[in-house]
Amino acid sequence: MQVADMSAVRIAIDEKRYANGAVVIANFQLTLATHEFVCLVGPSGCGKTTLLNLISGLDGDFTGTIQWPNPNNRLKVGYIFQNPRLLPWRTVRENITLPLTAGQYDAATIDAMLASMDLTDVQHAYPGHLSLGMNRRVSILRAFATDPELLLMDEPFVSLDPATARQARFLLLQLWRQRPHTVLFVTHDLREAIVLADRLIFLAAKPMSVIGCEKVTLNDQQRQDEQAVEAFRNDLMTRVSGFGYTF
Amino acid sequence: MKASVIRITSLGIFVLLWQTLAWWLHDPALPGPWQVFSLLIEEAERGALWRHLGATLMRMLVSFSVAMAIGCGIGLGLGLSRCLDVWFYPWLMIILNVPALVTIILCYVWLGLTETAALLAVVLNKTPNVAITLREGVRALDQELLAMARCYRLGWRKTLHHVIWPQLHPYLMAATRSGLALIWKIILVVELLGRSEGVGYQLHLFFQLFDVAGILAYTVAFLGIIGVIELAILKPLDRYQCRWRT
Repeated sequence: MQVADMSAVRIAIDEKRYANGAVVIANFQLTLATHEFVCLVGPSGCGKTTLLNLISGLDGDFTGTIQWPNPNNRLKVGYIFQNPRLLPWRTVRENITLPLTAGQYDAATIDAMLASMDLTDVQHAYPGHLSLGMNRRVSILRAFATDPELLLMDEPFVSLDPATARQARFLLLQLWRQRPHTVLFVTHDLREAIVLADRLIFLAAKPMSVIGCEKVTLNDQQRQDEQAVEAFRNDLMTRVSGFGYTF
Repeated sequence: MKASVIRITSLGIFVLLWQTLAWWLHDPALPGPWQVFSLLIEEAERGALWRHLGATLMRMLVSFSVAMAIGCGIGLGLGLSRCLDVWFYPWLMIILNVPALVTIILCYVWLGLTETAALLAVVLNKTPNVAITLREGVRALDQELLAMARCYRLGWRKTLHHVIWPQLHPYLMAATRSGLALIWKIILVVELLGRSEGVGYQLHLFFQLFDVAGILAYTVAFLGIIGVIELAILKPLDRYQCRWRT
């Protein structure tokens, strides 16, 4: 079925080594269907960020191929980093509009996006004056505002308190429903992955490779219901317990 | 108490100490502030102050601009390119560590006692300082932000303006401040050795006459000008660039 999807992104990393020679990723294969939300779940330090850097083109030092729908042109990538990576000397609004080309910029759209993320009041503040949760929301908006075709997210909600993280996750889902993108989301939090993803990919470390793949069959309402998420997680645990995970 | 009030008070105490010391010693080798100040007024009325100060300031402006421009270029180049750095860093270290007096003498010997030689000597003394400072700044650039800029396809103009420039600003200000202080000291030596106008030339004259009041009058005039540059140009620039920090 996925083979027929001509607009899929096919990632096949044969080998990626660190500068010290250690193999981080070996025989890794993953196909992303259009507008699919995929979560990569794996232990911390297993090489997930490295993988995102390969896909985004920040790191070109590997053997293997990344096949884009149009072979001559990589998809426009939006990357939400683990640290928000905002420019501290530019305001919230300037940070969001900076990557936009003159043709992309539309003040009304930006206003609406800021409002949807509850950032209207702080749009002229500098990132250093805002909380980490707000900065993360700004970095999410920056990525969405460029209207990327592929959105890479590297644990964007880590180190937020549970309530803030929960709110940020639903704001993200809401944005994604409004403007669907193909999303590759990296996390080590299985509950978070279940709330967000269409499909979960389980990873093993040293070197990183795919050891399991599960579809999330919950609807939107169930995703907001913590008990339903918990039940799905327990059910999943019985199936993936062989992977040696302790979530 | 406000910081500005403290600064003015502190300055006042300094002048007072000077006056007390001068009064206590009662020696022509240390004239008091009032004597120096009245001589300054006299020199200004005579027009000599403006002529010499103007010549020195003009030299400062030209050599400072040239040294900053060339130094920034070299610093950026060495900071950004590992290859350039390996090749030319030793050259920079050589020029940086040649004593200022040697550079000045060599320029005068090779090019004659000309204005060009004088300016070149100052530029050669200052440029390596700017280059070293800027090189450090480029090497300290935040790699994560640069990766972000690449990822979001900011292009080199936006990257330079919004990502790199704000990070280099403190280094540029450091180069500017230390540069102004260094340049005017070197210019005085250059003028003393081979020019027939300028503050350095005047100081030389006063030295031969053992006229300490004259020496101090020109020193005070120059300190005043550096102070004005600091307050009117550098401080406001700092405040504008650092508005996000407060």
